[in-house]
Amino acid sequence: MKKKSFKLVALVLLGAICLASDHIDSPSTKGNSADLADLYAFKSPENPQSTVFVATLQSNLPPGSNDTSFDENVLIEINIDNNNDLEEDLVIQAIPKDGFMYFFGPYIPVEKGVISTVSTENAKFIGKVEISSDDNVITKSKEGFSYFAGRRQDPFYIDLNQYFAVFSGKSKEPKGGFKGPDRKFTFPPLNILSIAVEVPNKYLGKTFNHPVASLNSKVFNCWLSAKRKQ
Amino acid sequence: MKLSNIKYIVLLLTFGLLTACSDEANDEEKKEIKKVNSTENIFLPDFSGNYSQVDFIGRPETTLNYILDPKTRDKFNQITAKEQSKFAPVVKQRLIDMHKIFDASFEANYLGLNLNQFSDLMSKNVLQVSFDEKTSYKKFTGRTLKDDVIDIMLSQMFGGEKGDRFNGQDTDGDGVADLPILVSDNLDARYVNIGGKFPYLGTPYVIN
Repeated sequence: MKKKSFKLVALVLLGAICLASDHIDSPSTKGNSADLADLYAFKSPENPQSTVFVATLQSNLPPGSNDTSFDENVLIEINIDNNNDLEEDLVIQAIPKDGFMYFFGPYIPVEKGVISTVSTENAKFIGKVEISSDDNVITKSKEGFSYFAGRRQDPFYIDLNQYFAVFSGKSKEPKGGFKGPDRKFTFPPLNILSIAVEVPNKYLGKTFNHPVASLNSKVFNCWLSAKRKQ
Repeated sequence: MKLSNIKYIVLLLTFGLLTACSDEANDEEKKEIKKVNSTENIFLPDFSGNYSQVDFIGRPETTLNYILDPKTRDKFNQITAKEQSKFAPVVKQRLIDMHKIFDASFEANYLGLNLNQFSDLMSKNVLQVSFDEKTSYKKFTGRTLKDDVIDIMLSQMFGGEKGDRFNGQDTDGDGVADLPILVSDNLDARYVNIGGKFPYLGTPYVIN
């Protein structure tokens, strides 16, 4: 895989700023080690009977920001809701220690809600993987699970200046909308810390009828939380 | 047999029985560890303690579109998904306000959702994920790394039944747009090296 090399330039290019979707962040977490950016969840391209969860955090890392790292006091939790009551029925947990990311679950959490603990039972431990450097991707796989932690390209992008201008009535484009399809835009090179775990679907519990009836599918709900040690 | 010998034998038997039980328990414990993790010895660091929520992410658009006040956002990201769903009236009002900027009102979108239905769905700040269907944020069956969630979201809010209600149309044929472009920000996906094999994310940018 070719590396993308860029000269380090000012992040404000053409008056636009690209930020991960949760850049409109809680003031208390913005820019710090518990600052979540995005959650992705998709059918595994390699194993269709598995689901891949990707959590990204600490967005807008320019190339060379090698001092950015996972915080050992921050637990990342993927929550699974199997009956659409918006409460977690299963959790998958990731927490770093001494250069490794440890993965647990999916398991039924002892506590539901904003306070969590990490299971001490070996049976709930998936495995650990060395946190990857930029040029050396390290993954581990075991019993259908795959897991990874490290810095990657940020897959998300938004021209935040333009977005805010449009929805505050200040856009100078025709009729106050977005720029047309002929717009030219240069994306700044931004990286992000990422945690990925692939889970066989048999461990993810049941599904329910999609809340959008017209979609006629069975789904589960999921969301991501960052929890700091007390 | 002397009483002292009997006592000695009883002690030996008791000791032997206790030892046998302990060995049996250790064997059971060992078997269980071996069963769940046969390839490595497990030594877990101390992760004990309580961890309290400081941030939350579900749908990519929630705090971008609907929770605008920074102080509210702080509290919003520290409560449960269930508590967050009570913000449905805020979501609905925000959709109304966003349309008012363009002297318009929400029309049912390509999913067939009217304002109330769409607000209700958006107030559930979670991703729906399907095991069987192809993953697409457009169909709310998950979110892939390449989903253009901004365009999808804009189309759901402003696209109407066909998804292109506000797309810069020249309705009177005079060569000038009469409607704003609101269904796309016209930023195409740029990032490469997504896909392939696990973890599917692109190689980081480096300094030249």
